[in-house]
Amino acid sequence: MKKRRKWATMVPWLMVMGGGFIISSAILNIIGIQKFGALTPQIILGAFGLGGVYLLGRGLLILASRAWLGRPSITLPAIPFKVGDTVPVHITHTFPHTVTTTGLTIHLILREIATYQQGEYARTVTHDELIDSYQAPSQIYPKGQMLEVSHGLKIPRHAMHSFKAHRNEIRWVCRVVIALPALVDFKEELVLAVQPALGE
Amino acid sequence: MSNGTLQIQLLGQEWQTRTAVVRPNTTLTGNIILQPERDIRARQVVVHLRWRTEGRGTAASQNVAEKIVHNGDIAGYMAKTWPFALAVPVSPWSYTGHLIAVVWEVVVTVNLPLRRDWVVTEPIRVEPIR
Repeated sequence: MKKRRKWATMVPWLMVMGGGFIISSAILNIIGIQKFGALTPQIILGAFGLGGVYLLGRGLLILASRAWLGRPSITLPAIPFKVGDTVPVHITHTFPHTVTTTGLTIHLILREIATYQQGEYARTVTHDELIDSYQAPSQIYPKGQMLEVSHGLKIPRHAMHSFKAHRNEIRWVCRVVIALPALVDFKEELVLAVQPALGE
Repeated sequence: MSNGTLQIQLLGQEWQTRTAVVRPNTTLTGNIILQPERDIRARQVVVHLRWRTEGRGTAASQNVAEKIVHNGDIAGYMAKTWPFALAVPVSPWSYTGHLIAVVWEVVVTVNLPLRRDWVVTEPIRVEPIR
């Protein structure tokens, strides 16, 4: 099942890359780059063109995925949470087209973000710790069908609160992923404020 | 040449694996015990409560409370005990993660003129009753 999905996802990318190669080759022929005689400039420029077309293609695919799926509404209570609280997540969506999803996941993540200096550059590394999750199975949603998911994610009592200092941050994140075969998955992250206090 | 011994004694705390556990939004009390082996020329003796980060990120730190317990020179051979009380803030709590750790400590500094300060540190944990 997983393998099939991987191949299905790769097909549009291969098409985009092939298209990029053809377009960049055509552009190079039009501007007459072959007058240099050697093939090297063509390869270098072709690679750049291919990269550009790939990025453009990915952007277009993301836009197409969003247009196809629409924008699900993800709501969390607008209150700061305490350590030990349950975070109620509510997702609603009416599908504008018939959509097949290969899964819907809600993750509660504790994210550590550390920034350090390396020579002239500041590098940032992150680590995500999955704290709680919810997974809905694959489903076909006909056009106009409403999706409604409510789930409580638990912040453990032994956990840390949100923390931010210079170049060090501990952030609570709620991530929602709707997996779409052959398209770019819908991903959205909402940051939670978890106060340094224990809930009931 | 040794100045003697300098110790931090924390009072009324819980202990977990030889580390004092302090509750947020309380007062940390203790004594600084100095047994000088000679007269010590000093500017002052200060106790700090501070947190700092450890791990991959550039270290961040903050002194959250400070008390000057003694000013001036310290006469030798007589043990001194200076009590202190420092307010522990609500946050941050002690934390040990993959990339970041938040470490709390009590730091006593004997400020010595024209010499490196004499510093003693006692780690603590700041966390609520779970």
